Amino acid sequence: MWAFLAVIALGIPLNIFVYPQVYEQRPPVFRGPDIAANWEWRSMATGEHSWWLWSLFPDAHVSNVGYQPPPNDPNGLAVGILFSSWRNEYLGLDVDDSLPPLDVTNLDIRDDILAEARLYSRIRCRDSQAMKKRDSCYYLVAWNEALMPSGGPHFVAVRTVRDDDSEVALVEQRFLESLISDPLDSLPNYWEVD
Amino acid sequence: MTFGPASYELFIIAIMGVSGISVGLLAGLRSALLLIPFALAASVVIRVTSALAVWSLSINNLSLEIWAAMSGAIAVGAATRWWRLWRLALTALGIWGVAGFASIAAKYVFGVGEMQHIDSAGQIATALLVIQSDTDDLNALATSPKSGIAFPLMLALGPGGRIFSAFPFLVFLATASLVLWLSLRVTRPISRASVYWSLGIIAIFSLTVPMVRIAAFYVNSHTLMGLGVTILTTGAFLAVRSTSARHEHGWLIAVGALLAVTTRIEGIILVAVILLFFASQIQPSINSRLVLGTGALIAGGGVSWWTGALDSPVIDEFGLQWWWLPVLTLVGTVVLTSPLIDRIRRFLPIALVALLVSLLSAEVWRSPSPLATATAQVPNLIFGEGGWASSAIAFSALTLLTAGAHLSRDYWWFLGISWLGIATIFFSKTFDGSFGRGSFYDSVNRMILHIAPLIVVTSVVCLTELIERARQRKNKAHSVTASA
Repeated sequence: MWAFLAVIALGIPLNIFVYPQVYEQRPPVFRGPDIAANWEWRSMATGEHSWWLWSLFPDAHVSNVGYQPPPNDPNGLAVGILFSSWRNEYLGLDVDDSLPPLDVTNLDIRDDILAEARLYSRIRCRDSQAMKKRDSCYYLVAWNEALMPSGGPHFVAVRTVRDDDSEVALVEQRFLESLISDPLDSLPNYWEVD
Repeated sequence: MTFGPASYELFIIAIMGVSGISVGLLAGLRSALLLIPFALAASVVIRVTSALAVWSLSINNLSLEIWAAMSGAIAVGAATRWWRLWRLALTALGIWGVAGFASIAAKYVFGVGEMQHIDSAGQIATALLVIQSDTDDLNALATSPKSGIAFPLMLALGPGGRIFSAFPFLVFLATASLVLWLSLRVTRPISRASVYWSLGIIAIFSLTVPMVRIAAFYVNSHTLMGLGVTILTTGAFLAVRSTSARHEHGWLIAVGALLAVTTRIEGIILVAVILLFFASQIQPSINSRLVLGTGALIAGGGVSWWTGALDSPVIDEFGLQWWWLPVLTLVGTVVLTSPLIDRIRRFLPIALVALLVSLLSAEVWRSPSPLATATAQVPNLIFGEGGWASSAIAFSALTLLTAGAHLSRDYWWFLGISWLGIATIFFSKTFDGSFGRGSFYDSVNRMILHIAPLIVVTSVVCLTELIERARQRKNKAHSVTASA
């Protein structure tokens, strides 16, 4: 008995003070959009980002959220962001994931985008073929209320930072066009940058 | 506090309590403490069977209505049949109400969050988008059988667009109630003081284990699976220790088995192993055979109905036809309950252990790195990466320290089934091709939760018997000294 009690008596302080606690208290989630909006869920929110957007703009159209190998290297690694999920079919969100995000890292527009950021979280991503293991990037959604169309808004995914902690933004088309002088189709995408 | 959603959840908890306790009374259970976990399991089973019925009949839009109607009908049936037991019913409802309020308060008043996990996000998405929306498109549910149907079905009982957030903690409290009842039942002949001391010590130790605290609010099916497995094992234990199995044992086995097999797809393996363990010890009576047969039929039938109603591809993935599972269930039930195997029944546990050890050894031997495979769970179970802190070391120490000790056969029964359960969990993982990895998010690490309540009961029984022996020795020494 004493040997077993000694194991228990030693285990209690070890459990509290030495062993990793694995979990820290976080605010609870009640709805799907809560997950994407909850920073603490971070990359666990994969699949739920579209849910958050749909809760605000059920008739939104989203493009450049592809996650595929480049067409010139079909056996290569998939690059882009993991925005698409089976949830979109149930939500009825209009998502075009045929192309990866555009790259605006060489334009000086990140601060303008951040000024209108409505959500800051993480999303699963891969920047390039050099990034062997899929990781997560910072992720935000931005729009300018004054420029919003009366119908369903069109959000375009763009990369705003490219480094060890890349950042991708889902920016409303009119707002994005107001920040760049050239048309959207002049911007390179991941495939063209890599 | 958001009053609307909280009061809605409280209303759902009330329906679950009334219908679940009613099933318990109809099943012949007469302990308020046992009625709580059974009520939770039975209310989930009502939800699962009503959903399977509406899916089979393609009337998905009536899912909530059929569940409410079934719950109401059962409550009325129990009230008509067992109105004389109103004191017991009210006591159980009172305890249920306290647990319900505590579950609601944890989320809405104290704002207790949950472990962040992509699987939890998946469970929430399935609950809200596929089940709560009453859609006819059940494809997302059918193609993810590993996550089971019972847990998302319960989460979907939340108010419009929101999950039933109090449910995970309610499951945890119900499991704690069952662990308490079972510990008291197994140690019945021993003095209460020894039992309460051990319960207190093991409870304090358990609450310092991070995984236990995580499990209380974790939005995933593991805790519910643990409850199902423990109810099934409780029924098997009571049946084995009775002169002949009674119908309440059959209810415990049937409800526990159905809950476990519909909560996670690999539940069928764990349930089959526990039923085989039970089959090795049944009394040679008609009642015992009926109880065992009912359990086996309901477990196999439950999975068959689930995969059939959803047209799930899980059976196809093993290269089998849809009729394999029902036929296997029928043949297995006939063989297990047959008097023809009575002579070899007692060898079933040895055969089971030999089979599991062989399969696990083969898995290690075949892997590219046998040492890495064999030690895959060491980071989780020894170094605490999985959240288990020192609990695995403590349980292993308990097993080694009691080897050869003169402890009751009940202790050895629970110790045996706990280790058999752990081996089965490792075996279940071999379908994914490994024994997992060092991380909380590894599924073997989380699947240990399926057996954790039984490990706690085993530990309490062991410590109680050790304390009692020490107490008796002390009394004996004292009386010898006094007489001298």
